[in-house]
Amino acid sequence: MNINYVLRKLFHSLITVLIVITINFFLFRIMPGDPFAMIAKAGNLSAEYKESLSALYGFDEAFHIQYLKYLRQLFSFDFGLSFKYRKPVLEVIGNRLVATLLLAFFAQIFAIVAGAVIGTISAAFRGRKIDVMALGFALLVYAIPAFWLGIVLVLFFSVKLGAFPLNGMVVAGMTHPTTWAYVMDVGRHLVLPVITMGMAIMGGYAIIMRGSLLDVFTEDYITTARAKGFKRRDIVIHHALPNALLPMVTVIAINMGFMISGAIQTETVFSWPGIGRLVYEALMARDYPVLQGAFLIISITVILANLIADILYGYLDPRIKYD
Amino acid sequence: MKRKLSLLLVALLVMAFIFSGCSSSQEPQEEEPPKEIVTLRIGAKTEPDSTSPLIATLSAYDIIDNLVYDDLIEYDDDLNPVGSLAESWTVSDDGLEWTFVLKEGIKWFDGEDFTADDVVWTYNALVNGEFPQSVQLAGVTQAEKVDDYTVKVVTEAPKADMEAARVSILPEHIYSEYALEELNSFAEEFPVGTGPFEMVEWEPGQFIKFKANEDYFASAPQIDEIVYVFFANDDTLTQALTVGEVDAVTAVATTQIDTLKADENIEVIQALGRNFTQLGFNCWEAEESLGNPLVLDPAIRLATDWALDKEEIVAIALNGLGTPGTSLIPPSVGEWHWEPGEERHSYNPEKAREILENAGYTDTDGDGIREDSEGNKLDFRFAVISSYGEAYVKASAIIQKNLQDIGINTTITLMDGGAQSDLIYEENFDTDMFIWGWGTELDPSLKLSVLLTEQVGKRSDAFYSNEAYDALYQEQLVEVDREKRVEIVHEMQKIIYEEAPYVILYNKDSIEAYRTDKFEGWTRVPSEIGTTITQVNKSNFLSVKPK
Repeated sequence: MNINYVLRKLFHSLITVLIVITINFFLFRIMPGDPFAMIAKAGNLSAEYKESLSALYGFDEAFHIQYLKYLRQLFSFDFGLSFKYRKPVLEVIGNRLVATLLLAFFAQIFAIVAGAVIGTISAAFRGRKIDVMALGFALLVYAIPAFWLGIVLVLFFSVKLGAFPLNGMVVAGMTHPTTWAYVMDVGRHLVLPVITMGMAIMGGYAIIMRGSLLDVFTEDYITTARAKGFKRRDIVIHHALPNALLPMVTVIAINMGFMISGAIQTETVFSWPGIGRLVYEALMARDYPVLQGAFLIISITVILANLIADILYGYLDPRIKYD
Repeated sequence: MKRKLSLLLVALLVMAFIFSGCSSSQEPQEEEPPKEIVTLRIGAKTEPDSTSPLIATLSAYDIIDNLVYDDLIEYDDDLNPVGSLAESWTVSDDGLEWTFVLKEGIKWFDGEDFTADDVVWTYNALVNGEFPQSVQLAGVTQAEKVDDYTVKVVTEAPKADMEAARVSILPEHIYSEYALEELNSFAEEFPVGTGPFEMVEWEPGQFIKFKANEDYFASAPQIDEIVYVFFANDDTLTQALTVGEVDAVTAVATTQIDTLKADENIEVIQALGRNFTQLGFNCWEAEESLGNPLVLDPAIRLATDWALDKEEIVAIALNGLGTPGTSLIPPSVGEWHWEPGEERHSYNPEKAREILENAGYTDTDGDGIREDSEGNKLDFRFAVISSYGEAYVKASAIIQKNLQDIGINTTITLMDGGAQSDLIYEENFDTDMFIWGWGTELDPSLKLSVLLTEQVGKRSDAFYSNEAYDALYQEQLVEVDREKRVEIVHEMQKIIYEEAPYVILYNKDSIEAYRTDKFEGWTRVPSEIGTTITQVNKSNFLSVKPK
């Protein structure tokens, strides 16, 4: 693979991050509302108190100085102080991001595997009953709102069967004797949220997979393989599938961004301590520093996912040459 | 190709395990103790915003405050003031000097002795700085140490609500190392207090864990741990109680109350709430007000009060879980509440129309909307917050219909809470009516102060001004004779009832529920009628024990 290609992509990503940082800075300084009222959590302020708060948050400096300071702080991973919690933003966001990444990651895996399987079956049996059923199922789950599906899963698996816990990431307040016990506990709590979130995107993957496979089926090398007398099963799995997976990479990368920010429905149903809920709460409390930090981190995640997809694409499909 | 993809998947999986490993390394790796630990799990909806009383403003912070800290004086189960950290107290004849004698032998969680220094530091910090609890000590000049266990508190004028001051006493040996400004952003990770439970773990977005303080000076708790578990929605919160994942909840999905009541192992508590929700009017008389000047006329506001079918509002907006409202101070705080007798404005559109007729508002052009003598229509903008759940939105629809009946037109605009704050405080009060609510304290001063002239642009959201009301407020502040003070407080509520800057829509019930199969000894405060989990004192957490 071309090292120049990777470097160029990296450079583009960096530029994008810089633009995001700048927009982020100005966006939150033109937002409505008196920041002091938000910081002080009350309107009733003396001039002295305003001054001390102003200094605490650095609002007493000139605009361009604030911007430079903001940049400098970012490079030392200082995202400022939350209005609501009066704690460093990074501390507020920290574990929340990890929780969401964990959820999003496994939901993606679930969706990719289930989507690919359903799409493949659908394409292999194109036009038959099984195709209609598989496609119908994919469209149905695609259309179901995550919060509804989540509640139904809770009622059935948690309340009726008692098979899975219904909230949080671990049993609240439990001391785990070993790391393994902790991992198992998180795992049990992950099952329902992962299914809920995975279902919502699985449908889309299945449809893309099916379309992509049908395209590949018309290629000459498939005809060649068939002429050679390979079994249909072999043709689908060994010849068609690897090539049909390519478009999935792009879709998955685009979906990554949505997964981080769009996990809010699932997080709300299962009280998952993720970043989606945090952003919503911060928005309601107008906790601008937390929003600013969260937006930046989400943006960087999306840019990173796209960068990886770009590089991967060039790697997986050597025909693609950007210059 | 396939191998490459699976390699990628493996790499991602490894990453995921590193992540989960990260979180788990923060867990204490202790061996499970042999003795069975009794843990009370409480499900709640909102999480505290800080561990410091000098920072926190959310009422959810009380979860921590009630378990960790003590005040000088607290309320007993019948809501009478009783010494907590204070052994006894006296007030000088002129009412300007309070002397508190402190209990001896009390220790902070870290083993330091609790002394007068702690009280003096806390009181002076609140008086000299601006913190959420500072308002509790309004009128206090300073606190002085007399000896190790005696504190003198000096006030400008007699302070009628001194015994009701809710001030969490903080450890001077920790806090005095910081300047007052630094305390705006300093919070202990695990606060050092004197209370019955010590906070030992907080996983943001998930739970807070407390461990019993065996040496608590009042009496040792009968359970080992309390874990508050936070839920993002009512439905799973209620389900968690049903399946026993939690032992008590501080909120219940209204649609599931009947199901819970039918469960023989679950007790549902429905208590009068210490809150009110008002239909507020823009009463700002200043030039720059962007409100419709017609709502400055008390007759229109009063007519509104008569026109509203509050029973229906409670039935629809609250699913019946509340009481139609009357005066500013809710019935749940006892004798401070003033209940209108014969002059009660009960649902009566005929009377409302009569008031408007007499005040000169008639519908001359036959479009169903009344006008004043100059042809200005009674057509008002109505700001409604839609981000606090459904109650406000449902109530606003009924209000709109009720007002239409008497010839007042309203245009509802839905917005989030922040946007409404902006309209009122930032954009020169650019609306005419709004719905908003307040939680109330056991002492009436703070809520009465909301409608003072001096609070215009500050805590007030109606920008109401009335000299007689302001004067009565100052009078009750210094009236140490409780009976006389009650009278003045009633007089003030009467003024608001007749002038109607706020039309009190309802007092929302507090709903809680707990399981009776694993724990017993649940206490309601006030006895019989109050709540169990969300309390003004610590009774329940000292009395609840495993069955």
